[in-house]
Amino acid sequence: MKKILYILLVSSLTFTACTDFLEENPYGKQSSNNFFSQKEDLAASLNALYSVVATSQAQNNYVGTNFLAGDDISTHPGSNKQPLREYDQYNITDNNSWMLSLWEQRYKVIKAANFIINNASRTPDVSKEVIDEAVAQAHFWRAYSLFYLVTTWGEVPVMLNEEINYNAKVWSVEDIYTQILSDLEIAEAGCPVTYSGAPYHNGSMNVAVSKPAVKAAMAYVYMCMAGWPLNKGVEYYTLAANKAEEVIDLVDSGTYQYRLLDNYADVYSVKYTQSNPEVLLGIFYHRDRTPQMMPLTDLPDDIAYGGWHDTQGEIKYWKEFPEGPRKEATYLPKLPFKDGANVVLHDWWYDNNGTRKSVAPVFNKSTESATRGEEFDYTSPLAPPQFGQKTIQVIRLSEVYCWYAEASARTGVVTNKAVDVLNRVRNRADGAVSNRYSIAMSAEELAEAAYNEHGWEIAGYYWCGFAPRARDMFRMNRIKEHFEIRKKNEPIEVVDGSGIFRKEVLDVTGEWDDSKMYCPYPYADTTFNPNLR
Amino acid sequence: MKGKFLHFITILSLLAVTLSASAKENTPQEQIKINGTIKNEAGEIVIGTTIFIKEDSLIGTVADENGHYTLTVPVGSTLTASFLGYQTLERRVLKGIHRYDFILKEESQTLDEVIVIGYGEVKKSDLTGSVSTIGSRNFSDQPVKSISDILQGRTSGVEVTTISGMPGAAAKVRVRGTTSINKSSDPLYVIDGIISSSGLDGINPQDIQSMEVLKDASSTAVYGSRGANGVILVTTKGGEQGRARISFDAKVGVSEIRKNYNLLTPYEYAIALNDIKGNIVSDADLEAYRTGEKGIDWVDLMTRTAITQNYNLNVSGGAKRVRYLISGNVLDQEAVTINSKYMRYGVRANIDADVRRWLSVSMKLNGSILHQKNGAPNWFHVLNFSPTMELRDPVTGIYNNDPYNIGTGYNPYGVMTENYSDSYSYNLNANGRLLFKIAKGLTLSVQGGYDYNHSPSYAFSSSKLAPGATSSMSNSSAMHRYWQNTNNLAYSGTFNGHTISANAVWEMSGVKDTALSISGSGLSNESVGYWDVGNAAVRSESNGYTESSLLSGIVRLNYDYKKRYFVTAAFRADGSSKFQKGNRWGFFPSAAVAWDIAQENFMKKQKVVEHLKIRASYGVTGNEGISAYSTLGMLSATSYGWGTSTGYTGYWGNTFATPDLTWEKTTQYDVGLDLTIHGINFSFDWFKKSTVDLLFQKQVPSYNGGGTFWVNQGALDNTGFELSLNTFVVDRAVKWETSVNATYIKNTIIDLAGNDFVLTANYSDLGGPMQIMKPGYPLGSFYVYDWVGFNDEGANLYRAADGSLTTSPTSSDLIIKGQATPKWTLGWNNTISWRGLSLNIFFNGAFGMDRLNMSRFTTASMSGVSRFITLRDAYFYGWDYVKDKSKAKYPSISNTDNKSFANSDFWLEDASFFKLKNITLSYMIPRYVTRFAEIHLSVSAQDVFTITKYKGMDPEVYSGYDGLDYGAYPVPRTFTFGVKLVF
Repeated sequence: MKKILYILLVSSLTFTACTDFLEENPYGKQSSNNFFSQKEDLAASLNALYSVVATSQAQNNYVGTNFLAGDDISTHPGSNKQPLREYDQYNITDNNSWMLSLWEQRYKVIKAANFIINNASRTPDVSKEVIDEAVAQAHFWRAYSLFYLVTTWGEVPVMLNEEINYNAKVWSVEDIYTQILSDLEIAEAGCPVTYSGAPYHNGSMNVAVSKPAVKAAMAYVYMCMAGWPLNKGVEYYTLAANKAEEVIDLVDSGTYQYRLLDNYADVYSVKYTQSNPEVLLGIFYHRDRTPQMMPLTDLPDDIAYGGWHDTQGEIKYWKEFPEGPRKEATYLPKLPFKDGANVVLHDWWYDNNGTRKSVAPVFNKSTESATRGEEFDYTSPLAPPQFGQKTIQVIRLSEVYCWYAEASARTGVVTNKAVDVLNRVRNRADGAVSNRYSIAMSAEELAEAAYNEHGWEIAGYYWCGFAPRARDMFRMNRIKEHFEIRKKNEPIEVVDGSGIFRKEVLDVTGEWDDSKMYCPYPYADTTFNPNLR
Repeated sequence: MKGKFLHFITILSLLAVTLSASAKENTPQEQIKINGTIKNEAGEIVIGTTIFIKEDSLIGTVADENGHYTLTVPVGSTLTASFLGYQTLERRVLKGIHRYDFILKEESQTLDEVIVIGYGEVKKSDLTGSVSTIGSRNFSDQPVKSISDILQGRTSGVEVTTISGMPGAAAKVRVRGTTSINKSSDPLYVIDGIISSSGLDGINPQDIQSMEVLKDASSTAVYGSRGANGVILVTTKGGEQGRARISFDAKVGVSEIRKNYNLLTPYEYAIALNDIKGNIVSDADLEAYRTGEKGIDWVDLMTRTAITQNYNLNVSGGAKRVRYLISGNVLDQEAVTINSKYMRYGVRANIDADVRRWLSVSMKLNGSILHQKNGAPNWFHVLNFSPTMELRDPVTGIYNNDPYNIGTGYNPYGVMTENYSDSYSYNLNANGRLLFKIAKGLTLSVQGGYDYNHSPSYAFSSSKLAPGATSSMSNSSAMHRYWQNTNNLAYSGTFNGHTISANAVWEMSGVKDTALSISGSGLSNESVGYWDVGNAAVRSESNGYTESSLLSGIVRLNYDYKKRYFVTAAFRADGSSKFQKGNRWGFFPSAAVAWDIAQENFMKKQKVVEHLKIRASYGVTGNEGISAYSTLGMLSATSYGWGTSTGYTGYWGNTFATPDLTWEKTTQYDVGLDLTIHGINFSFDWFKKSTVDLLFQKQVPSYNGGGTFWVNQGALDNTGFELSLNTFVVDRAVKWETSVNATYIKNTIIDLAGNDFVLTANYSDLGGPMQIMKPGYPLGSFYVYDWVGFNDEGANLYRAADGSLTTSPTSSDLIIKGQATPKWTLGWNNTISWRGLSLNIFFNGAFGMDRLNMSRFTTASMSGVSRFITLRDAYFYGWDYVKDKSKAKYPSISNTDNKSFANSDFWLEDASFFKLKNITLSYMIPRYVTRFAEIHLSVSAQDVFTITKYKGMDPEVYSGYDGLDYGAYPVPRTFTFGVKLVF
């Protein structure tokens, strides 16, 4: 009996000994409240922000589908491209299966940015400048995402805090632009001209957002505000021209270390992907760490190595594209087809006796070789990889030149500087000092020339470019014009006098109305929030 | 094969040693000639009963057609009469007494049988709750490989779904339905009183004596916060006093896939490609596909005839105060797909000793090693990869991607041949108990259990998989430690017909998990495989820690008056570390009453109703199944390379803190009836389980960043009934015992944290959400477009919400249809025996359930993931091909207006099935015939045939969310040959 009592005593002791038995000790995990308590946390928060940014742009269903509205680009008529076709055919449904990601990824970036914007200021042991630098970058990416949202959906909820809000109100387009500008102003003040050292600078390029990139972005945002739907006109074109001019002057004076590459063929090359002097803002990938999924997306599915055929070029745009090195680099020069063990090259309009399902030009900006560091060789039957590491180019210097020329001309003036920078762009595209543009042009002519040059510079490149062709058409309210052209779908003689006619394989039907300018809200979110219905 | 022979030889040599040892015992004793007759309780002769001497089963015989036997035996020995379906009876042979008659009692009527309930045992006749028992005799001759194999179809109220046919894959087990939405609805498993925290894979089914399934709340509420999903108590075998028993059992099985899709041959596929996509296959290649010189049959390439081997050695026995059981088990199970297999090695030692008059001790040790060699192939790829492609580049030897169909995904043959992986699980379960007999009827049990589980896994991936692929390797190691201390003070006593038993329990437990992993990519030399991370150009590493603990107190009182009126009441309090202060403690009361009418005096006179009892119970159980630290909203870690191969770790606030989170609660009502009429045992239970304060992952709007967060909101109901029936259909020389159990469950969502509905099973590349949760509908409801046919151009036509037909439906046209979980589940077990021959036929079925056949969708449609078709009918009965368009079964694939959605009822199929799960013919040769051992020979087949309308490979399995067959691994058909020797 004594023993039993002893046992009882011992076991009861074990119960009372552990008063904090039920307390949690989450070793190795950090709480939101304890973060930004060391200066290293600041760098870690930026790693997370850029990781979220990189993920949000790494595959085309996250980033690029709505740019199919542009007149430069279309998609496959069959295969699995149903969600993509809806954009190209101006008939997007709220259940479009690729649209939710497009929407959600922008807000994920905003959430990661808000974490820094709302908390980083408490970081101890660092100068205000260092904190401001981090916060400024976060403001840029928030503005970038809001800009994407407002140009794709119009009125949307704007989240400035990390919260869950089932009744978030949508903001007016005007208010969203105000928010974007206020974010960009903070970014402009805080981002450095250039970073020193890894990982924000890779030795030749800024990897993180720099002041020149922010200024360039502001220029384009002003242009969009000047155009549809706010139509703020000359006042904002002036602001845009001034901001673009700041960048141009500081580049010309050597304060900003940017310049155009001599050959257009190098612009999207593998060779310059980590050292492109004209990229003001890029998003960086590596096959071993955060790869992107670009290489196969634009390649047709019926050529020698079978791409995903998410996109193809529109024929009219290709036809009107000025000949020269720029066109040669923008499209695949020939398409390789298999003939037994051999590869035979054909022009894109080759239709194999009418059996090819989609006969269209093919863009060649996202491709890269399976062998690292090598350029894509369209004549080789070696298949490209699914995962790639080309830097995604968000803003290039040649775009800023075009914006400056267009914005200043739309204020009604033609300046030497505008003509000069636009000639820089075109001369390179021609591969010769053609100086096609002159001070003798009317402001209207110069503006349109710049508008077109910008389109050709970035044609077919929808990878989260800040200003893809579709967005240019959007701000100029010209999508409806293209809608009518696509509806008519007249055959186009591919080479004058050849007698070979091709037309778009995807039909556009129905009547235009301005609701087609925007995507519908994804229904996953309309089910939560009555304000989105 | 070499390894398998080694196992076999090791086990045989062990046997030889034990055999030679057993041959020695021989002591002269006085012999006596005896005789007798064997009858059953109805007075009928029982032919074929085995009569033998317990001390030496070499001495024995079988009763003849008159039920008569004669035998010469030593005086003082124990005469044993044994016949399947009856309780084994024993009588001591006394000097001078020559006649020993036996009246056998049917086993199924044995209400004196003791049943294990939580924290105690009761006689079956005293049960107040709803508890099912599965004894080892229900499955002993069948080649069961896991505990879920045993549970499937063998008892009412338990629904077991084999989700995958891959060896070692886990099955889904539900006791009385799914009670939680986002947290586990798996039952709680308790092995010999210790909660199983690391899974049951390490338990050898042959070591199991019995399993009790606690279903109603009065039975499960003693497990409080972990009892809401039902509790399955596993009792392992122990030794018995008497002559040592040695049993060796070997089974060899041969498996093959049962049913395949009818896919296009390479030649047909090439023709279809040229037809639909333009002339992409040249004439020369076309000819090569026609002659069979080129082309790949992927299913044939990826599957094989698989061999399973299973060996068990079991030695048990005991002296007056000590009993022991030692067992060993080797299972080696090949997958029916290439290069994968699953192995289990286990040992067990159970020792019980009465060390003092007032103290008994017991120690149960189980050790096991599980080894999964290579995983399952991607069946979705196997079914969809183009048959017209070259497996690998002839020059570089690199495997090709699919040029025509699958966009993202490596060559499945390359994956299974160039890559390799090994996952291990090392388990040690220790369970010790001290039982103090303090006074008459008063005991204290102090029990301690420790589960140690170490699960390392290793994987290598080759750069040969595809152009541009990177080689990689990984090693990871997870360590799991669980401890439990249970102190149970129990009292029982009877006074003037009043019987009281009471328990007071204090229990503590804790779990600690640590994990460590390294991985590398870009190996400079692939020959090192996964064993040199230093060889990798890019490396990543991670580790983690979680710990949680639970503190519990339980009191329970059982009372009965003259075994007629029964009352049980229990109360449990649980404190869990997973919840924050103030929300930690949960209280779980329960009560039950029963009336055994057959014990009333007025019932004693009649003979029709042999047994009649009605029961009713009520109780509350809980669920604390969130993972540790879930409520704290800790930061999420990410890694970014900034364009380099170096990983920079980042943190951001992707999750939200939920300090108010607490227990999910399930209340359950149960009314039951047990009845025996004319030898037919019948049992019925009705139940209603209502779960409230659901631990629910409420969706965050995408504009708030998406994802989910935990709330205690929402409610879910499960109501249903269970029937079981057991009888001897034929009870003569030939005996046929049949038992049927059936369960009906209606699952209904009551509330979803205020959401009108929640969309689930989202496949953004296949059409969006495939399923919906909505109040009024069951979990696992499908959300689909209503397909009605084809339009004049062969495009799919769907019914729009306004009743019109459209080729381009929008989200408002989606309808709720079908459910993934069966309404009815059925098990039907038959044992027919005659003398030493025994035939077991076991069917199981599930009815009223659907599967979304996404495998068929992808093989027949050009979808976000498959750019072409592989299904024969989709081409030859496709709109484009058939001349008479009314014969078309599949839409046009050339029509650009055609929209195909996986979430369309075109692909939603009735997956009700009725399976011949097992058929075993076994023959037992008694020891007195062979003179050295009792020999059981058996031949059996598992998953023999399935009656179903389902068009996929297997209606039962699924791979995505709830009931989505998206390349699910089918259950193969297996033929098994077994031999068992008992010495």
